[in-house]
This record gives sequence, C-alpha cells and structure tokens, in this order.
Amino acid sequence: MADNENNDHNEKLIARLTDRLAGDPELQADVARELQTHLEDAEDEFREAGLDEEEAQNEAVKALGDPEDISRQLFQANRTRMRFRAVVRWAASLALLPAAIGVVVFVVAAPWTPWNMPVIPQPWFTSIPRAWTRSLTEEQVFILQGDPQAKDYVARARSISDRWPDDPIYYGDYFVTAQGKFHRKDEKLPLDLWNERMALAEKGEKVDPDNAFYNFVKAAWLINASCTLEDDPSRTIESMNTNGEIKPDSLYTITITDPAGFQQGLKELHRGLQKPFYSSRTVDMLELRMSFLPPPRSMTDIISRITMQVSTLLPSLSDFRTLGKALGAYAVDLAEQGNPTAVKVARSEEQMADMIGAKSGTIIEILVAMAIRQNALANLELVGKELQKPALSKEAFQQRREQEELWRGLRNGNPLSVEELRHAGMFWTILTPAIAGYHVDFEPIRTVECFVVLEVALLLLLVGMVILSCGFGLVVLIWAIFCRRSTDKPILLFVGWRRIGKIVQVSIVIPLVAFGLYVIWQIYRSDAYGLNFTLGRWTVELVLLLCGVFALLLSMSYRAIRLRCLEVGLATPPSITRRKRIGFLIATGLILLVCGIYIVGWWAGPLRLDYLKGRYWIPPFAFVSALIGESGASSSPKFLIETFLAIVVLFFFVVWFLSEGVELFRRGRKGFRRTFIRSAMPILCAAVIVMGLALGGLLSLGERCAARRVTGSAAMSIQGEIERSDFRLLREKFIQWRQEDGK
Amino acid sequence: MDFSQDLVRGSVLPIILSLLREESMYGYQMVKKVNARTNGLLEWKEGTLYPALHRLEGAGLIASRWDTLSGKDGGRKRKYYSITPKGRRELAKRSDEWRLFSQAVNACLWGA
Repeated sequence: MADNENNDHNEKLIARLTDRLAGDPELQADVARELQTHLEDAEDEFREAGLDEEEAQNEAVKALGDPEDISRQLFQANRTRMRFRAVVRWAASLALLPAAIGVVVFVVAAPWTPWNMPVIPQPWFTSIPRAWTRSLTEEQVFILQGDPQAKDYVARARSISDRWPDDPIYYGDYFVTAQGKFHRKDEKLPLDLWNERMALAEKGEKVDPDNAFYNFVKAAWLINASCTLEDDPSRTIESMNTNGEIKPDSLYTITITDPAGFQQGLKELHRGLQKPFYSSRTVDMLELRMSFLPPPRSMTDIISRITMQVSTLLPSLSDFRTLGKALGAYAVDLAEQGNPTAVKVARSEEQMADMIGAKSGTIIEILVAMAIRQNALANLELVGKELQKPALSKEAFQQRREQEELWRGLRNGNPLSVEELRHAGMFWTILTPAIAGYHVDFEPIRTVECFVVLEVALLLLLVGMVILSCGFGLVVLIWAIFCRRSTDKPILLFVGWRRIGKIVQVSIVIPLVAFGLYVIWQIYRSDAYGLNFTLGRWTVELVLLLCGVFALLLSMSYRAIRLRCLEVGLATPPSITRRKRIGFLIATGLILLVCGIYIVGWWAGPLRLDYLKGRYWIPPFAFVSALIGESGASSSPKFLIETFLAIVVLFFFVVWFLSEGVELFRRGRKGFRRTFIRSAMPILCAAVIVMGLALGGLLSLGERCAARRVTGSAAMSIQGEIERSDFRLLREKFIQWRQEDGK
Repeated sequence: MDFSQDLVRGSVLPIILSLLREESMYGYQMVKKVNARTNGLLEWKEGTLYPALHRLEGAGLIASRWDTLSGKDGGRKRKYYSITPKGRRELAKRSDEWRLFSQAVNACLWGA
C-alpha cells in the first residue's frame, strides 16, 4: 500500500518535472524514466541507511532539489534538441516514404520505366534513346534517325539522303525504305507509280554509278512485268538435297507478254553485269549506324541494338529470284529454237548470282544468290543438251553438284549443340541462329542476364517493403485523422543509431553479401550454366533470400522497438521465453546443418540437379505438383530434397517472426501495436532507401560492366553473320566464281 | 560550506567530463562519486545534474545508452553516459584553461 502511494507520489513529481517536454513524447518518457531510476536508487540508499519507506522517499525528493528550477533547466537544456527532433520526426513521418518510393522508381526500377524501355528503331522507331545520342555529333544523330520532324520513316530516310545527296549509302537506304509504297500483290502497278519507282532507280544509278544493284532492280521489274512463269514437268533435272538424296526437280517455262519490255530488261541486266560490284547498301548503312553507338550499358541497350538490326529493311530479294527463273526459262526456250545466244543468257543469270553472292552482307542475300546460281546451272545444263554441247552440259552439271555438296556440308555442319546451348543464357538460347559454325561468346550477355535477375529480385523485395510501409503509413494517417483525442496516441520512437546499425548489418548486409559472393562465384565459375538452366536453382535461393531479409528486418525492428519501449517505460508485450529461444536456436542450427550438407552434396555432385522444367521451378508449387504426381513435374528425389528444404526454411522464417510478432495481435496491445506500426515505418523506408541506392547502384554498375563487354562475337550482329559462321566459306567460293566469270 | 552559484556552475562541465573519462556512468552514480571525492564539499543539487548532462549530450560531448548491469537491484535499467572523442578534446581544453586560470588567481591572491 505504502509502495503504491510512493509510486503515485513519484509519478506526480516526475510528471511535474517533465511537463515542459510534452511536445516530444519520446524524450519526455526517456527523461522521466531516467529521473525515476534516480529516485529509486536514492530511496534504496536511504533505506539501507536505516530510514523507513516514507522518510527515504522524502529525503530522496529533497536531495533532488527544487522541482520548478529543475523543470525549467530540463526544458532549457533540451530545447534545441527538441526542435531538431521535431524536424526529424516530421521528415521521418512525411518525407521518408516518398523518398523510398522515389528510390525504387528512379533507381531500382529505372531500366523498366517507360522512358528507358528498349526502343523499336528503324523503320518504326520514334526516337533514339537520349543516352545513346548524348555523346554523338549532330550529324551522327541525324544519320541515326533522320529528321525527327519528318512524317514517317520513309520521309526520315529521305531526309538523310537529301542532306547528303551524293552519298550512295544514304540513297541506297532511302531507296530500299521507299519500296514499301510500290508493293502490290498480284496486281499491276499503276503507270504513275511505275514511273516514280523507275525514277528512283534511275537516280540511284546516278548517285552510285559503279553499283549494279539499281540495274538488277530495274531488270527485275521490267522482266517480271513482261512475262509469266509456270512449272514445266518436261524440263526436269536431278538435284541432290541436304540428305544426299537425288531427286527430280522441274524447271519453268516462260510466256513473254511484252517483248519490248523484256528486251529492255535484258539490256539493263547486261549493263549491270558490266559494273564493278553489287551492293544493296542496307548493310553498309547498318554498319555505319552501329559504329556511331557508344558501347552498350545495359540489357535494354543490348535489346535496342538487336531490334535495330532485325528491323533493318532488306531489298526485295525475291524479285531477283523471279528474274533468275525467267532468264533461265528464256535461255532454254532460245536453245530449243537452236539460238546460240541461249548460253549467254543462261550465263548472265549465273553472273548475276555470283555478283550478289560475292558482296552479300547477310545470310539471306547469300542464300538467294545460291538459289539463283543453282537455277542458272540447271538451265545451262538443259541449254547444253538442246544445243548438242555435251561438254557445256557436263560442266554445268558438275558445278551444280559441287555447289549442292557445299550446301549440304553447310546445312549438316556443326551448329551449336544442346550441350553448348546449356551455357548460352536465356538470350542466346533464343537468338542463336541455326547456322553452321556460328561462333558466339556467351559469357558477357549471360552475366548481364544474371545482373538483371538480381535487379528484378531487389525490385521485388523493395516493392514489398514499400507496400508494407505504405500500409503502415495509411494506418498512421487514419489514426491521426480519426483518433485525435484518443489517449492511446502512437509515439514515433527513435530506436537509436546503434540498433539501426545492427538491424542493417544482420538483416541486410550479411545475407546480401553472402548471396553476392555466391552469385559472383556462380557467374565466374568456368562451367556456369546459362540463366535458363540456373534460374531454377536461383529462384529457390532468391525466394529464400528475399523472405529471409524481409522476416529478419521485421523481427529485428520489432525487437528494437520493443526494447526502446521498455527504456522509456511504455507498456510492452513480454519477451520471448528462454525455452522458446533455445528451441529456436536448436532449430536454426539443425536447418543450417541440413542446408550445409545439401550444399556440400551439391558441390560434390550427388545432389546436383540437371535442370528444372517450366513453371515447376517455383518451389512450393513444384513440391505439391511432385507430391500429387502431376504430369510434367519433376519427381526426382534430389528435386524433392531441394524444394522441401526451401519450404522448411521459409516456414521457419514465418514461425520465427510470428512467435514474437503474434504478440502484436493480442488484445490489450493496442498502444504497443500502434507505436510499433508508427515507428517501424521509418525504419522500413530507410532500409529501402539504403538498399535501393547502394544495391541498385551496385547492380546497375555490374550490369554496365558486363554489358560493355558485349561486343564482337559476344554481340548479336546481322552484318557479321557471314564472317562468324561457316557461310564465310560460301562467300569465299562466290568471290572465286566471280573472278572466274571475269575471265 | 556553500560555494557561490557561478563557481559551481562553471565547474560542472569539466567535472562530468573527467568522471566519464574513466568509465561510463549513470546520473546517480556520478552524484555519489563527486560527493565522495570532494568529501561533500561540492554538494550538488542532484536534480540539476540532469539538465547539465542533457546539455552536454546535445552538444555531442557525451553519449547515452540504456543498459542493464546485473547486480543486487535485479538488473535495473539505467541510462549510462559515456564521453565522446569530441568530449575528450573539450576536457583537455578545459583542464588547461582551469590550470592557467587557477594559477593566475592564486598568484593574485597569495602572490607568486
């Protein structure tokens, strides 16, 4: 009874001493608690000296001094601090959450924001990313994208050519781009458009006089418009397919509808054949544009480059194929009439193929050249037969068989094996062309992919934390509006730098550094698999990491806030019991041991997974699917071990957090719950900001470093397809054939 | 003996800092120590120690943390103060200042 009275008396005194500090509830509680312990210490000492309870209390109060004087001095001593703390409290309540959201949006999510998305460039692009154009001259930017004011991509291509009218590359690019307008399916082109198209080609010939391209194009238009072609079973040759089987192949018969136009076309073709070279210029333009660009800095840069390449327009090569067929059929017709110029006509088809093949910059060009040459040689064989020239016929047949063998070798050459593709990474697995001998350095893009995955994981974690913070913030806001008069006002507690440091260290730095080391080891291990194969394993680890960081952060914040509440004398839930704590320690130890055994097993081999399929790499899903025996789910015991482990660890995190956190949801914990929610929000936000800035920066730096190495054989390049594959052998052959044509 | 208020006030800062130079202490402990060392001559009003501590903490000369030292009182949580590096520098400055000042005053009062 006396004790209660004493406490009441002390509480009243302390309330009087600290009432000037009421503007800062946390500081007030802190100072009150300090004075309280002082009084208790003093009373204890007086009691030990032999005084009774009441006397001891009176002496302790007397020794403290004049309450009014102390109260005033306490206020003066803490005034500056209170002002500073008020500002910080406002900042913590109002500015931290928006700052955290800002960091997530502008730092971590930056590569996926609309303004940084990969562009879809020529011919459909709207503008080149600013990051690319910053280091370029105005002229280079103009060559990359043309006049931005132009109404469509044709006008853009034209604006480049208009600015430098003598440049054959720019004109060639415009010429090819402009062809879309003249495309008609099974329909004759109106005369005005026909003339316009012819004028474009005429101008091209003036700008690029040594290039046979425009003559071939004109010849194709004229000849294709003045005849019709049909399959002719009576003209059959034997050809060899890529399996080495000999099969009959029928050629064409021609009906000339406009002899004058046909002859004009032949003239154009022969003018073209006199010229030094053939080039459609589109690859030259692409090479020029690519040479301007700074080295790629991110996955989106790499994707933009690839879309820029795959969206490059090539000339209508099928026109040349039809031209070739028409020439061949016409040559056989002439031979049937006994006309010796048939040989010249058939040869001209072959020469055209050699010119295209010798200067081809893309696989598609060289394939078309090969098809035309094949057709030319087949027709030449028939011409030789008709003209009773067996030597010519035999030579044509041998040349054709040589080319067929070459093609068979290329088709059956060594494309990338599945074993090689395992190391390719997601990107290259999709994009590696099925071309014999195609040489790729997988490592740089695969490394970029790894960084992207980590960035996505970080983004997920931070978004989760931001959502939780927003929820907390909303709850606080609702209280602020609706519970203004309530006595149970939540207090924003500052848990102290030491505790914040510990939270950051244990729940963020240590797990992330450990995971980072693991990832670096994975990436740089010489036998690292491509992401498509490793993603399965990484998913398990990433889910564990994210849940772990999240649970640790929350439970450590909970503990820090609880301790702070104890210090300032607020009501708190009881601490976790010693028995529970020991139980958790033992469980942690066991789980760590099992994980250790598993990881060692993985390293050593017996627990190594091959790879996981489809959606079944999502651990709980996969586990359940495997248990119920759903088709497609991997049911290997190793897989079960891994997913089981993942679930155990996840479950442990949940139980661990709930064992303490469950106190929050008990009845009678309203005050503490509110204080927790109000005080945890700034901690979460600060963690988001720190992690977003530090890790977001670090990961994008890593991505950038890896992306810079995506050049040469590590980069996807259409213009380099021939050089880096076995097709370069075919082009060498074409160059040789072209030299032989000249003799 | 009652010292003049100004004299006492001026001495609080160096005394707190010099006490904390040796070990971390809580308020009541400091009061006891000062009283013991000065044989009660410098009897502080206990309550005025806390504003002084808070002022020093605000100036960054000392730092505080709540801690429990297990003992006969069953681990009562107390607020312990410790000196910061900035506090140590301040103490050195004040000690020099005090020595020179007292030498000068002594010289005036009793001659060299």
